Amino acid sequence: MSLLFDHLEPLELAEHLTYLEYRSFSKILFQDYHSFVTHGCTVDNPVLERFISLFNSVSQWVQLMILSKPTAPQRALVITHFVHVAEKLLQLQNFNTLMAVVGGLSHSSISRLKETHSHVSPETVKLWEHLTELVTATGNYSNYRRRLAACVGFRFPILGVHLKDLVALQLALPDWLDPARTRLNGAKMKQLFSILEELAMVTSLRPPVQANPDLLSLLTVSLDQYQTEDELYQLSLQREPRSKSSPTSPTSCTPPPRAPVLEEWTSAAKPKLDQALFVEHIEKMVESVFRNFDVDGDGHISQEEFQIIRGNFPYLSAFGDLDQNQDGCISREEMVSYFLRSSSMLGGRMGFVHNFHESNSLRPVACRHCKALILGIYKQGLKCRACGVTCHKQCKDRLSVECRRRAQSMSLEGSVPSPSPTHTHHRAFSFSLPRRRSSRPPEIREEEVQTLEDGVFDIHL
Amino acid sequence: MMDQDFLFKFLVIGSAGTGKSCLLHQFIENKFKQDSNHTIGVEFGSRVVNVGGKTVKLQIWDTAGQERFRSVTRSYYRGAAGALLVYDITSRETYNSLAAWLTDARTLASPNIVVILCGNKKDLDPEREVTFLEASRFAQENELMFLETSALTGENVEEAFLKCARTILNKIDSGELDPERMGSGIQYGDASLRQLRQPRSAQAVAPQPCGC
Repeated sequence: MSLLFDHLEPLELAEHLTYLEYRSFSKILFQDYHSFVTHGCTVDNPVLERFISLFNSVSQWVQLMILSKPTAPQRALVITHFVHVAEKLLQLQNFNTLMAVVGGLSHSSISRLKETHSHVSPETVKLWEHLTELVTATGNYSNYRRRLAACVGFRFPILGVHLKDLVALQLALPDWLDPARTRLNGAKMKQLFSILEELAMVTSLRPPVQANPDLLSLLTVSLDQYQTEDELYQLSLQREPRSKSSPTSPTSCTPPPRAPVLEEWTSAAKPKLDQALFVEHIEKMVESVFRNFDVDGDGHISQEEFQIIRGNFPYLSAFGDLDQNQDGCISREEMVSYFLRSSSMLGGRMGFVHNFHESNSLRPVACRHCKALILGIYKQGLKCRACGVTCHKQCKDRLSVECRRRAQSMSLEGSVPSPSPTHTHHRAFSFSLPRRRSSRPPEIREEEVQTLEDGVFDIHL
Repeated sequence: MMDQDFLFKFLVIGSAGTGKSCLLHQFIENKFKQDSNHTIGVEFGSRVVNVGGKTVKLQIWDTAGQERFRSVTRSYYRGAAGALLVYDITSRETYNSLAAWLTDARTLASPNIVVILCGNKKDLDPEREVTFLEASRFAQENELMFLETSALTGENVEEAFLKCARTILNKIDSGELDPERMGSGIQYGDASLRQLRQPRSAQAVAPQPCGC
């Protein structure tokens, strides 16, 4: 079995996703449902939180895998691949993961990619429409409920839907029929029972899947990646920028969303994973990689072999040197530290998404999108912390230049003398690269590099 | 559904624990209890109201504790005409995430969606963390209507839904909203009405002056 996601058969991927979600699901106890229903949300409920965040991770991962491909036909291939994964999930009667994959594929950051979708074959589109129709929220998920009721053997219901039923039921009907609390509300109890019975059924039947532990550990790390929805949407805009002439929505007469609304966007779609757990996942994955690639067992793999594995993580930034001691091979420690550094969990960012902040500049700067000057004297434009690209606030969503960290070219360009007075304090650091600071904790290092790159770029302005 | 003039799809959105389901429950209690024999009703909640001489069926969709399942909740938005955007006046956190919810509603449902901001749990005034003034300023800046509600006492709950429905009707009358357009979240309740309106729909096909 291949460890590369791109080479996996849809069924293999569907089975492994099912295995992971099932494992997480079987940890949920009755108390967790009870706590969720009485609070109406998750309060001190780490098991359920973890399950929900895994669900959201699958959606995000699907989007990332699509958006990480640079050309429309390539992206269409990934979409097709995931539609087939979804089909296999339906065959496995795993509706929960099916919902997560369909949710990812129908997310606005993917559905707005018109060019990409034009490369998807009509058969795939038809299959896709069938699958979305099945899990649509219309009629309170009546299509899904019918299908689920007809299932025999192992089935994995969409937990979100059944949690909603539990919450709704709790609010709609009282526990007791009279104020003196002598008569129990039988109708409510009956309905509660049928929902909980459905959920309990899942744990009593094992999914008909087998999983490769090494592939699981790789998948786990992929699903740990954390991005905000805004970052994903930005990436989508970079892949296929909005065209000025033909607005995407038919309701073009409204003003575009104002800047404050977008900047205040702080929604955390899923809680950040516990750092210790994340490190554990990475260590486990590195063990798996070495078990499969280090055939002679000397504790090292070659750069080429590593590049193959890295193909699973196309959205990670190429950050710094992997081979820290320059001996041509990669040890376990080097690989763990590479993933810790480049992973978005610890404050890193996706490789190609800009990290914009409002910038002040004393001299006029041109916008990379419209090429016009950015006018004004205070917070007049946006500037990417990582690559230094500048643009108008209103051009941000149309900018098609990918973020390229300047770590590699800095040492060559660093000596250009044209200091700008506002950034003198950064420049004290800016000529030595942080290549050999492995003793520092990773999060601090990431922070410094960003500041550094910021400073270096300013010299070129 | 043939005895009403319009059908509007409404959403109740906002952070978890703000009392969205309670608001909805307060509004459609009677209907809800009758329907609860089969699995929580096929439409999560609906009620026929009379607004300005017109009978309107409000079909209200609630996320009920699903807020964290992002891709599930997103599918709710499609084709909604109105939304109650709910925060909890005793929790600043729920207030702070309003902008994100609003962006969701406008990008996923429609930029024209009519939104009313509801500061819920008005009955817990001593524990208040968000002032009326602050929230009404936010509402003004984002062109929202605003009310403080209490799902517990029922204060302003009815008003919130009716105010939202009334605004949608006004927008239909002024031509700002076109029920004939797909995804407007508005349907005619009656085939004869549709015919009555035919001249206007023909007009709507012609390019309209753009307001931006």
